[in-house]
Amino acid sequence: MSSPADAHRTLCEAVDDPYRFARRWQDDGGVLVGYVGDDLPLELVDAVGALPVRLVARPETNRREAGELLSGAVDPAAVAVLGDLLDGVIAPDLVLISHESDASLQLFYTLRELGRIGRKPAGVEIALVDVLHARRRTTTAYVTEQVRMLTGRLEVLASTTVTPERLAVTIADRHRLRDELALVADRQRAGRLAGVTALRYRLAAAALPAATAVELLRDARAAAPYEPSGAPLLLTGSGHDTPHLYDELADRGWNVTVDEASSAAGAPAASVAALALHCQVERGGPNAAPVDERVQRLAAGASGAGVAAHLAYVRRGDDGLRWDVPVLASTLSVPTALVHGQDLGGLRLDDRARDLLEMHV
Amino acid sequence: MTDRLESARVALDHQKEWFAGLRDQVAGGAPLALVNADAPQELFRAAEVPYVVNQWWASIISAKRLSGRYLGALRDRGLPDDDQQYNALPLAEALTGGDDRPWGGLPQPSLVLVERTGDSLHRMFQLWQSELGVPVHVLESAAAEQVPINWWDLMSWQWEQAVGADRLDLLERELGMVADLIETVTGRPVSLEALATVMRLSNEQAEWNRRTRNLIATAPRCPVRVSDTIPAVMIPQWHRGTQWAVDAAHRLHDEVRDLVETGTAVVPDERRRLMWIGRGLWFDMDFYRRFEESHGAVFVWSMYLALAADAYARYGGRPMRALAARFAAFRDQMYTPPWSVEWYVDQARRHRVDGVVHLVSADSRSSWFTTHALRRAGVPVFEIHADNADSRSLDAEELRRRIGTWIDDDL
Repeated sequence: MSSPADAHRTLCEAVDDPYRFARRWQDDGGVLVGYVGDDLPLELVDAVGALPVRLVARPETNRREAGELLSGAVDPAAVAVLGDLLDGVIAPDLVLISHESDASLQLFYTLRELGRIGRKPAGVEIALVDVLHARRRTTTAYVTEQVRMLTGRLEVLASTTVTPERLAVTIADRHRLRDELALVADRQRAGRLAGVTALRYRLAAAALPAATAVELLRDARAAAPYEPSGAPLLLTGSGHDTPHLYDELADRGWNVTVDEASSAAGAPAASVAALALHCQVERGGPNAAPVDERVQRLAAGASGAGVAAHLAYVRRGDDGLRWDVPVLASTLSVPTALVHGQDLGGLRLDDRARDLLEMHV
Repeated sequence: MTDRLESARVALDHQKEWFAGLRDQVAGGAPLALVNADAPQELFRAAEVPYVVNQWWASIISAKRLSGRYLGALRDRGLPDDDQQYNALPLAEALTGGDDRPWGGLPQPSLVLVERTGDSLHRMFQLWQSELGVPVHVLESAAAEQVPINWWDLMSWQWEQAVGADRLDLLERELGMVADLIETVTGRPVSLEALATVMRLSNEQAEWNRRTRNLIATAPRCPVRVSDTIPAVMIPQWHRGTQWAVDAAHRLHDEVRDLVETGTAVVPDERRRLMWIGRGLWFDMDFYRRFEESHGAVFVWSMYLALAADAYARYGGRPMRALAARFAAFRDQMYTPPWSVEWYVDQARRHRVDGVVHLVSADSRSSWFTTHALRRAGVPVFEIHADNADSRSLDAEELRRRIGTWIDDDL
C-alpha cells in the first residue's frame, strides 16, 4: 500500500513515460500486447498472462514518415502511434487494433500493407479485432466470433489456455478497475478532482497491469492530491492520450469536469460471448457510440456538473464527431465553441473559441 | 471523332426522363429510397421501390455548380462543409430547399440506406432522420484481417473465398433485416425471386462492361473518352438489375467495338495514355480532354468502367448472400491495400498507360500505397490533392499547367 501522494506520483510517472512498465515487463520475459482501441477485450490478454499496454499518441513523436504513409487524412493520433512503432519506441509482441474509429482501421491496413511490402516495424505482429457496435443481434454474432478468434490467437501467442476460471478472475479485475475509474470520473464531475488529474489517472491505468492500477487508484483516492481550480468545462470530441490540452485549458482558467470518459458499466459474465457483448455495447470511444446516446450522456453530465461552457475539440482527420456538434450544442444550456482541424496536443483557437475561453478569465 | 458517344447521349437522356417520371411517381404517393452507392440498391429493385443513388444525385448538384451554395448552407447550420462533401451534397440540398434545385429537386425520401464506413458517413446520414424525419438504416461495415490479393479474379465466382464467411454471414443477415424494414416502411415485399432476377441481370450487365473494358484496354489507340464512358456506364449502373441497364451496357459495348474495328481514336496521333485514379471531377468534366490536342495525351482509364467490369458480378449461391458478397467489401476494392493497389497496377499494365493522375481527396485512403506501387511498377504518378465535388478546392488553370509540365517532363 502506498501513501496517497506516492500513489499519485506513481500514476503520474506512468503517464510521463507510458511504456516504462511495459519495457520492464518485456525485459523480464513477459509477453507484451500493445493495443489501439478502447473497445477491446483486455481481459483475454490478462487471462493468458500477457500485459496489455495502450499504444498512446504522443505529440512529440516523429510523425514525418508515418504521416506520409497514412496520407495525411487520418487523425494524427493514429499517425503518432504508427510513428512510434516505426521508430521502435515500443515493440510489443503483438499489436491488437480494433475498428473503433476509421483512424484505427487505417492504422491496421497501413501496418498490414507495410508488412506485405517488407517495411513492417521489426518484430511487430498485428491483429485486427473487428469489434462493431450496432445494437443488433447480427452484430453480436459477428463480434462474438471475432473475440473467439482473438482468444485462440492469444492462447497460441502465450502458449496457454484461457480457462473459464482464469477468465472469471481477469474479468473481475478489469471490472474493479472500471469501478475505480468511475469513481475518478465522479470526483471529476463533482469538482473534487482536477480534470487533468482524472485524465492522468485514466491514462496511467492503461499503462499498468489492472491489479496494480486498481491498487494505486485506491491509494490515491484516500486524498485528493490537487484541489481543482478553474471554471467547469465540458470538453468533447477527439480523445487525449497525454495531458497537454487539459493542462493548457487549466492554464487558461478552465477545469475539465466532464469529458468523453464513459461511466462504469456492469461486469460481463465470465464467458467469451458475454465479454464480446460487453465490448460491442458498453465499450469504445465517442466514434463508437450511438449519436443520441452520446449526446444524452454528455448533456446529463454537463448539467449535473454545472459546467459553464462547452468546448468541442476535433483533431484534423477526426471529423466524424463534428457532425454531432450542432445537436449537442442545442441540448446544452451553456455556450459551445467548436475548434477543429487541431493537431495532436495543440490548441488553435478561432475568435469564437477565444471569446468563450476568455469569458471566465 | 464525334463529341459524344451515342450510348452516353442515350443514357443521359434516359436519366432525365427517368428522373422526371420518378418525381411524378413520388408525387403520386409512391415511396422513394435514397441509397448510398456502396449499399445494396438491389433490395429496392426487388421490392419495386424507386430509389436514387446518393452519389449520382451529388454529381448532378456538382455539375450544376450548386455545391458551393449548398455546402455553405451546411456551414450556416454549424455542420461541416469540408468533410465528405460529395456524400453530403444531397443532404445539403434537402436542408437548403429553394426553387432552383437541379431537375426540380430530389423528392423527400421515405427511407435512407447507408453503410457505416468511416466515422462521418453514418453521422451525416442520421441527419436525414433528425432534421428531416426520414428513417435511416445504417448497415455495418466489417473489415477483414487477411484477404487474397487477386480479388478481380476471384470475385465473380469465388466470392466466399475473397470476402470471407464471417463478413458475408453478417451482411447477409443484415440484408434480411433491411428487407424487413423496406416492407414495413413502403408496404412492398422484397421478392427473393425478383432478387434472383435482379442479380442475373446485373451480372449480365457486368459481363458487357467487362468486354467493353477489355476492348478499350487492348485497342491500339483509345477509342473513347472517359468523360463519355463515365455517364454511359454509371447511369446504367444506377439502374442495375433492369433489362434497360443490360441493353445500355450492350449498346456501349457494340459502339466501342465498332469504333475499334473502324480504327477510330480519340486522338489520332496518340502519344501518351493516361489513367485517372479517383472519383470523377464532376465540376470540370472537360478536364479529361484538355491534353488531347496539346500533348496527344488521352485518358484511357477511370475506375467507373473498370469497377463495372470487375467489381459487381457475383454468380452462384443464395441471391441474398451473393448480394452481400457484392457489397461486403466493395470499398476495399477501390481503397484498401493490397486489393486496391494491386488492381490499379494490374489495370495500368493492361491498359498500357504511360502515367497516372491520382486524385487524393481528404477522405481518400491508402493513397500513399497506390502511388508507391505504381511508381515501383515504373508508372509515373501525378497526385492532385482536392475534393472531386467541391470546385472551391481546385484552380483549374493552374492544374492544367502543372499536368502539362508533368507530361512534358516525366512521361
